[in-house]
Amino acid sequence: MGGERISAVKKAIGGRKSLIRGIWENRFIYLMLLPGLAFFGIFKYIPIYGIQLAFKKYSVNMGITGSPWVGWANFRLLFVDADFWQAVRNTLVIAYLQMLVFFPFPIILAILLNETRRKKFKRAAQTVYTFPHFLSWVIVSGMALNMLSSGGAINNLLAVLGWERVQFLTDKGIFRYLLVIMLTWKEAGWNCILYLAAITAIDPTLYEAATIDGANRWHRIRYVTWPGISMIVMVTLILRVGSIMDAGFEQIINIYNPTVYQVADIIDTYIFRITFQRTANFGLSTAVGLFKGMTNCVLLLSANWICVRMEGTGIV
Amino acid sequence: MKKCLLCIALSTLILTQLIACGGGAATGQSETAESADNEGQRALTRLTLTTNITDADKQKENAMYDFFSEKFQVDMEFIPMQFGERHEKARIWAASGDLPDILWMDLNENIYSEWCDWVDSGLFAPVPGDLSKWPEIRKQFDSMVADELFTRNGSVYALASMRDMSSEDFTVCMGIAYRADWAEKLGMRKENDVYTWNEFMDLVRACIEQDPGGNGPGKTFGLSAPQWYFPDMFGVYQLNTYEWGFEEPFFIEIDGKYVWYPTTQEYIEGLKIAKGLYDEGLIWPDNVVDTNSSMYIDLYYAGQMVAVGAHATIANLTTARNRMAEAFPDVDRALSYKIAKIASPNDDEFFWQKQSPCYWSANSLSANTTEEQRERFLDIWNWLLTDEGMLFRQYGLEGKDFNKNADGTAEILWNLNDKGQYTDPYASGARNFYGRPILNDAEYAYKNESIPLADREDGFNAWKWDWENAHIGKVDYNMLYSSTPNKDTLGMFVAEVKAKAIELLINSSADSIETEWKAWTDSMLPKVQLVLDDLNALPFIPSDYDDLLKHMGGN
Repeated sequence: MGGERISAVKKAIGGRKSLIRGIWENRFIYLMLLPGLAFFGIFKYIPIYGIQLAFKKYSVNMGITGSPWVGWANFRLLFVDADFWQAVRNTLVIAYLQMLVFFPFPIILAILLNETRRKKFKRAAQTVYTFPHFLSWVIVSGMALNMLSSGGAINNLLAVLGWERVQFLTDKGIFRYLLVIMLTWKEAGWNCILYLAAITAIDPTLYEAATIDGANRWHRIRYVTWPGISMIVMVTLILRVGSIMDAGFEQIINIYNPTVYQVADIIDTYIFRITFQRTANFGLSTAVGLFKGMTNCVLLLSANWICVRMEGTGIV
Repeated sequence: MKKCLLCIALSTLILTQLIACGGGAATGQSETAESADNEGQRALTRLTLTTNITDADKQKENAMYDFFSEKFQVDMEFIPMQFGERHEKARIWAASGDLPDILWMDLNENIYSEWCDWVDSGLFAPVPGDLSKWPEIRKQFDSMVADELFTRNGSVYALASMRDMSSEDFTVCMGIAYRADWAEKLGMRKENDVYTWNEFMDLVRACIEQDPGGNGPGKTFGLSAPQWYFPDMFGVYQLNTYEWGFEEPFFIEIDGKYVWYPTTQEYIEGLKIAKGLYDEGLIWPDNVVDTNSSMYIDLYYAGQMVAVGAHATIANLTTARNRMAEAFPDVDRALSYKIAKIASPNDDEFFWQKQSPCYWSANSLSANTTEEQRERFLDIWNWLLTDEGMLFRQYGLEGKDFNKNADGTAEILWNLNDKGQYTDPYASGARNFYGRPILNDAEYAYKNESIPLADREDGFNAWKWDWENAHIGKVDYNMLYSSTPNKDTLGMFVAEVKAKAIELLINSSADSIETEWKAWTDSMLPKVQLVLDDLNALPFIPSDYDDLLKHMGGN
């Protein structure tokens, strides 16, 4: 019994030693982690200290620590605000639309690009699809405003064709779809890189074997490509579910207007409005942020649990 | 060796990132430079100040700044703070204790109570009570109520910038600027640009249909306005016959009690008028998406807009006319941007106009500043208010930009363009800072010989016409600048009202807009009522403007 314990302790020490030795041996690779760790430390972990503001009435001269505690008062104020619930509803609806349209689009794009035989075309297409990612939302929104306003290019085209002009930017029925289309145009090409990389890692002999067995192109996609990328798809899906309350602040703040607040005011734009566009109440804003973070956390764990149940593995 | 180089490269990368995150000296940290005071000169003082132009350094890259910097031994760092972000930035700076030395921004009713909170929290330093060293500032204080508004616990905490107002009663000539040349072309221009509501809307309609600018079908738009006037400029303002005027849909005293103006029948009728204009296509459809208030005026300067909501100062008239003259050299400069006087939709005899608070923006001195920095700033401010400072601000450097005549006026030395107008040798924005302690347009812009006389006279006459003919809604300082628990927390609901009005303008029908509006205001009442109750419990509610002035000490 005693010998077992000693060997377990030795094993633990040995494990720690080998971990330290491993880190030392790969120190230059680990060094590359530092910028990322510094980023997360400074911008993600240190600010957690400020979460206490959700339970305080912030006073400039007292600072975060010195401001008085107010219990759940900020949350009570929040939960009776109809605009808040409207923002929650919009966030979920927009995120759902994104999951439905934007999420599968890069996967389909990656598979299509993989199936393209002409390499030059494939490269050119990939460049074209990826380029919009490098444009900021300010620029993309400016382009959208110019193209979609009532005097914009698309409406001028409709007018030339003898059709009615469409108020794309003020029509509540259209606006959410417009957001999803813009997001897909901007980010699908960039997001498909991940799936293309996963497809590249699939053993080519599997395709050859499938072809010899008489598999047509659809069969190869269905039985070789898809299983090869399904794990990556699952991971990205879980991560997406975990950030479902981030429905695209930069995009929406740059293009929405009062006529579509009812369908496009999401939690992040709501926080922006209550913090910076009226008398600032940092306690209330932090309470919204905390609510959002907690919801994301619960959703992430739920999605992971479902994946573990379905696929036998998850990310947590 | 390779690993060593990689290590150095990575370390540099990390260090760079950390330095970038850390930043240099905080914005609000004040410095008095160590420059020696060896020849009786004052030490060079550094001041950080906010400015409302993006290309802030423009203010430093010219001979005026060199002279100014030398004269006051000051090194000024300008921090851009645009209209669309000014309150956001100020709130972040205040909350993080990172204020610049001089925070210059509008200090209107939307942020006044927060500013009071910042003062009470010790973020700002008071202006010295004894202003004998700065007599021009003293004179300015005596001419306005701003110093009373900026007083907390017995000390004044800001210096006001007055701008864009007439000398009489701080009237703002707010109205609609339009293409009088198009009206002439169509034979519809009225004498002195005075129109009934229907006459003016007929003109707008005719311009859209007949396209006097030759833009092509569907490319001439009717009415538009910046977001802060939209949609109230097209019906709501003109129906307000009460004692009190406003630019935003506030609370208003009626028969000794405050009411929420959006619930009044006048407001609803005004909104319905705007709705009618929108549905008919007279209001530019994209006005609602022009959230930065830039596209509307660009379209005017592109010759595609009939009329725009405007603040008709002399400075604005000149800027607009210069832009039009640049774009359309053959157009009559003065007629390309005229101020129309348009009667109420309800009464052809009633013309509405508003008074403005007696200042436009204010300069607050950070509590982090040293006494020397504060004194230096007051020296600067005081000098800019003197006659000598006024000439400097208007023209530039004596001997280079102007010569002083015996009677105190200036002989301008700038070049003339082919139309006989002076060409300002300084870049746009170069004199931005010096213009802050302005008196008012009648005192300042009207006497500015470099501005074409026609613009100065048009601007002045527009005011004069208003003084003589319009009902001028007064500013209720009592309501706007009172601090009550619910008003301070919930605000004045201006953003909410405007957003809903715009939404219904587009998405409701002419038949349903009133019902939908009432349903919305009813839904807002639980919150609004809290503020209303606060206001109606104030110890003083003015019955009229004289009553208010008496209460405020007669200023």
